[in-house]
Amino acid sequence: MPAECEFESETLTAALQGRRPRQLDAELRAHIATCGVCADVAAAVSAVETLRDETRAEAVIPDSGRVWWLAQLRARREAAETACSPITAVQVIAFAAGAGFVGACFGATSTSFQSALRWVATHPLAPAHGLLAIGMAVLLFVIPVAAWLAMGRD
Amino acid sequence: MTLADISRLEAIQDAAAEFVMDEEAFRAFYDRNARGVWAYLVRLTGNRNSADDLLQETFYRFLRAAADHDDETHRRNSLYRIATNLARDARRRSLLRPAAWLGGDSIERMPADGAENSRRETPELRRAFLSQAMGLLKPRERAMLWLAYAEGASHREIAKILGLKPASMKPLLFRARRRLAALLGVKS
Repeated sequence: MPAECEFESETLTAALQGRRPRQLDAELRAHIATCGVCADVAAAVSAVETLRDETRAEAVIPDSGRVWWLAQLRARREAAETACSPITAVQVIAFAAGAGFVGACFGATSTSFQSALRWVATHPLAPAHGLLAIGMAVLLFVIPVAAWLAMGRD
Repeated sequence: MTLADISRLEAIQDAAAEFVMDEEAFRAFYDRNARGVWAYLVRLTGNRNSADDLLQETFYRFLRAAADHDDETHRRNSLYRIATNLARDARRRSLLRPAAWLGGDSIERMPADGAENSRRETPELRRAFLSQAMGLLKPRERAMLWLAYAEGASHREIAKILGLKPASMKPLLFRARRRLAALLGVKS
């Protein structure tokens, strides 16, 4: 079947105007009966228009004022969340710094902690413990950042 | 009042000002287009409940989109592009959760006695038959046919809404039409 027909636009216009086959002139009607392209156009347009009219008729759409009001509420909520996210980040960093400070004070004043540290330093596997300490320090940085990213995404 | 409260209040006051139009213009635009967009979404998703949800989301995203529109047609095309993308996303989600999609208020299914019977009989049966035939098309084909014949969009407009090349519209539309006609039982 050819992909184009010289009567295609005429058929399309007639179909879009909702003209029934009986209302078409005899020449076009005879052409549609024999042309695959125009028969497809007429069938597709008729089907889509029928569905459009019926679907639109049954649509129960919300009132425009209500949609506007809900959109405003949502925009305000999202704006408030966005405005708060940098503050949340500062709070997370402050919490992490505070926890680090408390840990440092504990380490500086606790004799049992210091004796444990000395034991670790004299242990044959001390270099491995050094790596562990570095890993823990990295985690102290990574955890607040991950928490901030997770909260930002929510 | 803390710094956080002040920031939040300022953001809330600015939120509505970011919309692309004021209330009066929006309500007029919505009244002109909501019914058509809803019908388009029903055909794309095959489900009225989904169309209800996506309709509100479509207009919300349209309001929040930082876009300058030249005229009503441009605005309308933007709206349909947003609706198309939302329907596409919803369909992808439904593929992950098919149970959620099949439930609810799905559009009508053709009775078991087949196409021949449906075409001849009552308007309800005919409608169910047409609906079923449309439902058997690929989502993109459905969208193309709907935009072309229900909304009267040009090939260029359809290409823009669906994110396709304008030059490919004619053969794609031809194939979609051919498939629908075949499903409707038109003998070429």
